[in-house]
Amino acid sequence: MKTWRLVTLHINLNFGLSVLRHHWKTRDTKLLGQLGIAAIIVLTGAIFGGMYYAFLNMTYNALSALGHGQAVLTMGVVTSSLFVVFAGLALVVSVFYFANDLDFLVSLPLQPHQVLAGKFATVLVNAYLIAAPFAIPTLVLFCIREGMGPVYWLTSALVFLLIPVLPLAVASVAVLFIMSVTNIGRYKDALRVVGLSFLLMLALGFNYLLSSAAANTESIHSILRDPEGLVRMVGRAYPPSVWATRALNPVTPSSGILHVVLFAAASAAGLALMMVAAHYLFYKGLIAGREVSPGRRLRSDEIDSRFSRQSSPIAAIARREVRILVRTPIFMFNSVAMLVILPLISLFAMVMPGSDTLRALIESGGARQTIMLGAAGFLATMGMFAPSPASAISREGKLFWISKMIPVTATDQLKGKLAYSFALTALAIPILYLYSVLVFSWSALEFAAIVVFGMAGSAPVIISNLLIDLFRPYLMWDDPQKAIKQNFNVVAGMVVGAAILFGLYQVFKAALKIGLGFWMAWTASAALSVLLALLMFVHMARISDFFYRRIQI
Amino acid sequence: MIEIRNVSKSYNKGQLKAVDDLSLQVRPGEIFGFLGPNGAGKTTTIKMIVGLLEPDRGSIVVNGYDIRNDPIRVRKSIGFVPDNPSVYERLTGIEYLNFLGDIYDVPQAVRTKRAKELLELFELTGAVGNLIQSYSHGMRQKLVLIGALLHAPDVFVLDEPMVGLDPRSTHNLKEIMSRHCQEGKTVFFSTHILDVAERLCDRIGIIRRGKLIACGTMDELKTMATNKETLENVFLELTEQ
Repeated sequence: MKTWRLVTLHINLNFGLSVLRHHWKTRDTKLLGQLGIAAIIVLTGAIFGGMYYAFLNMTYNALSALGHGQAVLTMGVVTSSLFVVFAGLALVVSVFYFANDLDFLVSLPLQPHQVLAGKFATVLVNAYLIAAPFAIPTLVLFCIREGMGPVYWLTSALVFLLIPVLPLAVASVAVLFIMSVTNIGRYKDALRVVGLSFLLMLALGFNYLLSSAAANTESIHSILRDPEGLVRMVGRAYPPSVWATRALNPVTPSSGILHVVLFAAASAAGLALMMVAAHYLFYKGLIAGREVSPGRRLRSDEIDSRFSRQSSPIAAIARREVRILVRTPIFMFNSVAMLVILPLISLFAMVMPGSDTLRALIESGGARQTIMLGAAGFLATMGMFAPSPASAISREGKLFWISKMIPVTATDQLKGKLAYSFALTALAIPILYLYSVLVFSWSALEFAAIVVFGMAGSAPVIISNLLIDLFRPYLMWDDPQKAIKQNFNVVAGMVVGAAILFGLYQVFKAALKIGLGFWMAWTASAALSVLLALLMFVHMARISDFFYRRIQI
Repeated sequence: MIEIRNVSKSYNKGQLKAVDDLSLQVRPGEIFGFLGPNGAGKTTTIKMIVGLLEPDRGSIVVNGYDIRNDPIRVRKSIGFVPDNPSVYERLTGIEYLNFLGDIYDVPQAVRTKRAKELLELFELTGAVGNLIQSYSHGMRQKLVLIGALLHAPDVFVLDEPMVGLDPRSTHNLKEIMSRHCQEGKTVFFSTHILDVAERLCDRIGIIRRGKLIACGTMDELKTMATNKETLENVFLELTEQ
């Protein structure tokens, strides 16, 4: 009963149900805004889902011709589960260990696993939202294309409900373990970021190795000869996906029931394991994380030296942003994940033995320029992610009172945030250099061009994202994850950023079409990008004071 | 100097009037105590004075500058201590003070001297190198106080500043407030500690349901009540009506 109360309380808090009710009662216009945002999120999810549906449809056409249509089910379950693990990891850490209500919850007469159950419910509901754009199109497509009946619908509803449970439970156990063993002195926050990054790399690397090993060991003929060969091959990345496939498309009814039970039992076992782990590890990691070891007392001369430099307000703001990012594990993990882990995993995939086709493609003349363009695009995209400028104001949360109070114009404060965003985006340059050394062997000129054009491309992306957050910052969050990953501005920022980069690419293509060479076309789109950034900046400078004043806290 | 003219502020589309046509003036060299029951509108008024909230109506002038037209000059002349000392937990005390020093353009020598004096006074020197996350509520309150005084503001605005402070720090804060007003500067603070208000303030304002119901020196306030013995009696009588 207590656990159920906690579950409902957390779901209420996570989705702001009481706030919505209050806005409804008071006829507050904020309600319309919130409903509008919810509608946009659903619409964005539906667009993503639609695109994935189109991709699956093509895949299904190809596979069903070979008698392997059911492999799309396995692919859908594997993809949803992977996304749940990837996006869920940071969510689990934030909700389990950094939510503002934890001090209060720990003081209540509750068992650790009861508190964790409430927290897990929040994460699980969010995981359904993450899994839905991949799982629902898969289940619907298979039903339509194979003409499945009501039993399929029932089974698919059950499978959908089960899909995120096991990956999330396993991710939670791993997080509980990492957080309980990284409590080492003053550097535990840094160790936790390293531990979690390692965990994510391990999960993705393991997944990659399993699927590539499967592809290498079995000949394509033997895979295609066996009606379940492809399902088994794809399913090696995540074996329960095979059970889900067999449950949805059973050979016999009893086999269907057996595999539903197997999938459900695996999920239940995962949950049970998590509850046991929570009982022993949750408070250990949580309480240890809240202990802050004071450093030694500073000598008078040390205090003098630390007050040694005076800098401009813009530099002070940029420095503050960097310090808070580096020292807030959840912000740092999100940035590190985007900036380092994914590029390194793909680098790993490129230098692994067996990546001959890719190498051949790279070495061919035509692809070289495309890859350079892609590298600059990667750098420009990092402007959105590292960490998102679309949450630059939101991340201040309730401490925004300080920004409202200080005698620095809103424009100057935003300049500080821009300086910080550009500096973080530039952190992707060493990774590109690694790519150059290990894979692409770019010349110095080519590498410089990638950096210059990439940073030019990031400029309008960063400024547009900051503008989005300026219009409507989300400051009333109660755990830091909500300021970044669960912040609508970040989603909107990604859509706008992607649209800008797509537009610049179209300009590049048009320039090629009218006869400009590769370098001229690239320069033209980069110049347009800088011009766009300048226009946005001028607009931002014009409106920033008004919007800062409008934010009341 | 603070001049509040016919200021109103409401929430929930005017359903809840937090401050209702409030006017008052706080002169240079004066300590002004702002009293009222919970939810009377004290914090809303203070937030409007420092620019955290915008009034629906009326004007606020600080040190000769209108908060709406000249917010940066107003902020430069104000030192503000909020009711809840929330500051950047992931910075060290010294980093927070350095940040404010840069923002308020306090020269390095001045900032070092002033910070060291205040850190000693509030017994925070030993902790200033640590993350604010490790500070107790009282230590955070002291750090916010030091930060608010670092640029020697002409107007010192404090929202229930004694909450969480130990007796010695409370004493030191009162000393600072007195010294501040002796230098011709202005102190405006809200408090529930009536004893402190009675002994420290040159003038006191009492707000109830957003309206200023009494304002004046201690002697003037006493004339408004039948039981004139202490400020507590006067406060209880006036706020009961």
